[in-house]
Amino acid sequence: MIPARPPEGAQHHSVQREGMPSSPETLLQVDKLRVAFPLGSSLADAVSDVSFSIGKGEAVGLLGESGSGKSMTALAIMGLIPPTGRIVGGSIVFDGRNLLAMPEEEMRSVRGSKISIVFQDPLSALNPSLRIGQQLIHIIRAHGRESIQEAQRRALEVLDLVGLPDPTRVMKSYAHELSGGMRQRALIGMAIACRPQLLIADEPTTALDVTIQAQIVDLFRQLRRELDLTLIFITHNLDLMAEICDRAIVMYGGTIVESGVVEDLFSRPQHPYTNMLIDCLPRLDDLHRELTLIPGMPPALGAIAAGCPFEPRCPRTIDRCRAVRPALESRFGHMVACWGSPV
Amino acid sequence: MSAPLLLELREVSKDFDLESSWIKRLFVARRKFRAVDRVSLTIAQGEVVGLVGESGSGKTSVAQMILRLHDVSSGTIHYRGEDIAHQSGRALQPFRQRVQMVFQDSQSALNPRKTIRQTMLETLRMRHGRATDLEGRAIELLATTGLGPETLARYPHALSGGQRQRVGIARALAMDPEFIVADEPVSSLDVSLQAQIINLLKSLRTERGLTMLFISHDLALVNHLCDRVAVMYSGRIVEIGLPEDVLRDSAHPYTKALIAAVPRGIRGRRASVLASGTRALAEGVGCAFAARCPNAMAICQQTSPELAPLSASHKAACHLVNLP
Amino acid sequence: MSSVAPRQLATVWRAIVENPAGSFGLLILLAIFGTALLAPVLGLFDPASMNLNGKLLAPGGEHWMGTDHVGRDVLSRIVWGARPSLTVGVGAVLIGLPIGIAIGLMAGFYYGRLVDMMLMRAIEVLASIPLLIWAIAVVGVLGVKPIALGPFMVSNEMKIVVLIGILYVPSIARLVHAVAAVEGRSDYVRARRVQGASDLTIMVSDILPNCLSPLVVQATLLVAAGVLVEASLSFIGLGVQPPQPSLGGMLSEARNFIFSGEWWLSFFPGLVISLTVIGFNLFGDALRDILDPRRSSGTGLFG
Repeated sequence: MIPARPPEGAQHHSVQREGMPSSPETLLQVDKLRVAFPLGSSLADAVSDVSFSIGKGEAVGLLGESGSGKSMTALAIMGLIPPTGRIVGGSIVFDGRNLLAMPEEEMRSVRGSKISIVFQDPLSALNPSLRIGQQLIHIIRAHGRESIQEAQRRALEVLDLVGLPDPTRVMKSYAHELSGGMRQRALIGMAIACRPQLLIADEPTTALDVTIQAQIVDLFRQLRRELDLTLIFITHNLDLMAEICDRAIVMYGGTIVESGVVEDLFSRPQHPYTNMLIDCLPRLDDLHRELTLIPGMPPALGAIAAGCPFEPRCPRTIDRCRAVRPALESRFGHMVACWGSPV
Repeated sequence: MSAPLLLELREVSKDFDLESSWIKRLFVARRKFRAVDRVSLTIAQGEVVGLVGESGSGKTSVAQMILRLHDVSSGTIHYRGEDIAHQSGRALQPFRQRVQMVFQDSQSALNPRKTIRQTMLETLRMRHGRATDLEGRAIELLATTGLGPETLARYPHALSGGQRQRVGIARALAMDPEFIVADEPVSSLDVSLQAQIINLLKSLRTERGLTMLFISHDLALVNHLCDRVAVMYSGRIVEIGLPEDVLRDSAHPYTKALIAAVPRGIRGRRASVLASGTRALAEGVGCAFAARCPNAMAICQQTSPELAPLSASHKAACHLVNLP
Repeated sequence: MSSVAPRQLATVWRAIVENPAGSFGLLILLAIFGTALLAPVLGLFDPASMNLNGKLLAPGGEHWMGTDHVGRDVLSRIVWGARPSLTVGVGAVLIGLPIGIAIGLMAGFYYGRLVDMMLMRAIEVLASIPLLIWAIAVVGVLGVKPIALGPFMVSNEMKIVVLIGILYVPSIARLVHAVAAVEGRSDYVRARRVQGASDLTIMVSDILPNCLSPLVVQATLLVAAGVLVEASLSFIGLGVQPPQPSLGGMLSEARNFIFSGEWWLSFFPGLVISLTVIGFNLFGDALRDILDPRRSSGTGLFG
């Protein structure tokens, strides 16, 4: 569903699509990733057969609700899966090296300096008993050989880079002394302090007010430009994702159901779940449209049988959907995993 | 306007003590934080009124005062003509039956040590005393919200967020209320569940003629659902009107900033106009929004603007708008 | 609904299987409490009958734990001697619990208000008194004989139970206070208020159940502590008076025989005291885990 014409008088500037390189060098290649957790006496997949690639400088959105596997995929890339879980298949190749085959010590040097992650709730992601400056300096020195003075200088630079007014004061502050928006900026600062190549942001604005959210989104875009950052942006909010990302990957029940350039996704969504994500909540430009509803909930771990994970809720199932899981195929320029006919 | 007024707030304010030490509180002048500043609001029977604001706007405090969870620091609250702000205990019971609340965090809204049955039955007992077949009523109520009778035996942690929220709604309905205050009822839910709960609330409104105060930070949601919308900032209502008024003809700079900040998908959004700013703590002089307002004038620092009518349905509190 | 009995048995069985340590602790406690309770009918030797011909016999034969320096059977003295220890341990908790719960609930529910401040300050005063010194001091002053309180004769044992019980109040009150302060702010308490439930109803029906789990662990630890205090008091002669047997008294008498080789005189009483404390600890831990309805195993993924 294409949103209706913008209301009179509105001035929209279209999202700046960061120029997509004609043949983007692949930075991250995830291939048939499978992450499973023990459930009773067997294993249940949290992420199942997930493959995608991210080019240098791209901003890719990972879209889904709870149980979609989006966060678990990010954790797999970072090597931070909870201890009960296991990566039982696939590969994650970053800058030419398979992260899954890397020993932990090497992974530790990658984490934070080459690939970094920003989590949702800055209050719990920041150490409450250390000042921001202490945490920042610790991170800087953990990945380099700066002296304390150099690290301090770098830290102040970083805090300024993320738009914090009065970085000196922030350095001395504790997490709880800062506002939500400032905390998130500090957290982002810590993530980019070592100039990572890839930044993963897992629902970084969900806990924030919408006006602060807008500022943080602007910050991400600015950082992308200034630091040539490649970004994976995880969220359940389509519109938010579309503001920052060039491409989007929609996940459901641990698998990818649709992926492609954001415009294509919005103008011709192929998968019923993508459609639902677009239509189910009111938007400012289209207030009184009836909310399209798909009853049911996202599947719990282990509740996914053979076949398409969306089948129990899908309004357009055919027999095949229950038996065989659809593979990703190309339709109208983007990839969809659905047995239904093209829309 | 034929429908009777159910709720009327007049110049309601709420101050919180900042001083944590009781000794200081007794002997030294108290420092206060004005969470709600002279809010006036009326809600007629059958209306759904939305209260929009970000964190710190005071919207939750307003809800808590309406439900008498907190005392009013000044002002009056009338329900069906009776001043409930100064009632308590037994006298308040008729009011308590009529007005119920649905909470945001479904996790803490249900006692983790009680089964759903226990929670529902104790509520039904409050309403019906020792009447018979309370269990039957509980099952009916759960069914209204789309839950099966097997839910009764479960503990809250065994239910999903959406199911818990439905139980919260069923519990509120168990008192047979005519007025429901919903405080961010869908904010913590997955997108697909939000739509289901919203539609549930809509159908409850039509079927039972419920009056609602719907509190949320989600502008689109509030404008979709409500007959009238009030925007709060720093404890004050800065704009109030029909959804079209507030959205299309927004008058207050904060409303405009809120609207501008909402992501619009592939068509992007208007340039963000809002700087970060700290909120005024004390019962300050001047408009609380002046520090962040792109249109601030001299008078904005001196006098706090009052809500002035822009049309029959639309009011805003802004000196820019109220220029003679 | 399926019938209740097999369901409950299955739950109990699962609880036992999943908590071997706790089950072991329970076993110890059942053995100790069981034998102590059934002492009169167990067919033991008379714990007071002396037999100077059979003194200081090593364990074996008729006397499974040997005899002491005046020929009394150690095993029966232990079984009979455990009774005052256990009585004091359990009794003190039974006194401290209701008072501590009441104070903790009130203070916690009205957290931040004057009531809270006053009650918790009083609790702090009480908490600053060291348990054993306090017991020694009071018994030292009041003497070890039963005292008359109005129409009642308060035995020495009762005195000790009350003394210790009062000193248990702070730890119980603080625990309940902590839970009440947090839970009192939760939305479900607000929901009850909005329904019109009285403060008292909310405290008892909503907040108290949330305190049970940590309380149970605390209570078991406190019973163990009570056993130790009683043993200590008897050890120095302020508890159960000879010739009544008591575990502490036996340890005291055994002091003279530590280096002369009669190991059983100190070993068995010490063993029983230790086992009692261990049993309570293991059982209490397991109970806490069982009582928590959120204990269901999860991957932590979706909730």
